[in-house]
Amino acid sequence: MKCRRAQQLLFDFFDGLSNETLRAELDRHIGECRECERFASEMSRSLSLLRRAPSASLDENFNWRVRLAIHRERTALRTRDTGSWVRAWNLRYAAGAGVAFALVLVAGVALQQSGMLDPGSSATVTSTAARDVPAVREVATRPSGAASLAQPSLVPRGASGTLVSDGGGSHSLVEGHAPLGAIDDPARTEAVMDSIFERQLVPLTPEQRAQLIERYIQRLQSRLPGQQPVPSQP
Amino acid sequence: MLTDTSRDRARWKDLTDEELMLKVQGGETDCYDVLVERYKNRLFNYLLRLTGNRDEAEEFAQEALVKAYIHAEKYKTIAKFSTWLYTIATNLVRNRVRSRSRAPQIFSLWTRVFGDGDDERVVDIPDDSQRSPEEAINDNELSEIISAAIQKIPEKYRTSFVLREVNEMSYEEIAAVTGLKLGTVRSRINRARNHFRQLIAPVLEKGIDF
Repeated sequence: MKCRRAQQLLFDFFDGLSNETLRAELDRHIGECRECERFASEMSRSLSLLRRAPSASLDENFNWRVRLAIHRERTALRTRDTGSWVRAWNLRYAAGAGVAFALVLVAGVALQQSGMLDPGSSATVTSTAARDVPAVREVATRPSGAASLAQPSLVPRGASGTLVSDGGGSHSLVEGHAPLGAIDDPARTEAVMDSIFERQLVPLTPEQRAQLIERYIQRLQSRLPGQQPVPSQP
Repeated sequence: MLTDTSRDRARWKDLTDEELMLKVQGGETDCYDVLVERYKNRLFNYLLRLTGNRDEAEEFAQEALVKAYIHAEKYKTIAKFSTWLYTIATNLVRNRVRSRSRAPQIFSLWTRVFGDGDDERVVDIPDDSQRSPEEAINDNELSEIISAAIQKIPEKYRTSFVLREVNEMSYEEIAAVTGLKLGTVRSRINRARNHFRQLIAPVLEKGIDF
């Protein structure tokens, strides 16, 4: 038997292995090998020394310290759980506020792009369906497919006034907001109207345009105090 | 006359660890006291041998018992409670060792017996040949020598060695606690035994027969 094998067997016997044949073989080797004899003696004595060393013990207070530590840990866990719940809700509120803000922003941009919030135009959009506004309804009748006057961005910058839609596709500039001097100066009124027509908001023939201008001037004049409405020409 | 609590406690003492843990999981948390009482000294001795420091060992024992209670719902009865508890304690020590950059604390007696260097085998204890072994070395000194020697065993061998030689666990249980294969556990324990033998040999050579 080699020393390495003998030492391995020795460990096995320390662990309680009982094999008479191997035991006899090991004893024979140890009896012949001084090195292994020394090894077996030292190993046996050192391990028995270890097992004989007094064991330490904890006092009764230890149990109370464990109880206290458990109580503290559970309290801390509860606080942590509550904290995480609050944090989760705060996060949800913050996310909700962010989404709401984004929606408002998108709506604002959409409105601005649609021209409803165009700061360059002094015109505002109202609906005669909701408000009873005396209006010159025939200013521009929107034919199918034509650009809509309801888009304030298309209203000439010089033509201040309230652009009114009657809800049925007709739009008009309400009197009182007509360009200054429009009534006194038919040429200026005509220029304003021309600027509208030049933008091809309403495709009209020159005759129709002249007729429309005439009717518009008459309407405006009829609104002046002491003036009787002039019947429109057919 | 026994109160309900006293009667319960008497009854709980007859239950196995696993049965007690099931009760703890079921809400009878007072049962845990019985487990603490059962394991505190065994766990403390294991940790004392492992760390070589009484305060640290007590701190680890407390932490392990608290952790076992807090995570009681994770315990499954397929494993022995002792194995589970020792695994928690071993991991606590392992994590502490990893996070610690300084070397483990060496007892003053270590220097007396084994010197400072790893290779030193010089026994420097006073000549006590005129005294009996009992007089030459008392229980406290013996405990310190053993602790110091165990601290000199490489950390990776130490855990398995202490579980085997101090706590008398089976190889299977040690494998479960350490997460090592059975063959590795066996080989580490034997290596640790050899280290321990070499470390204690100078004390034995001095003629102190235990």
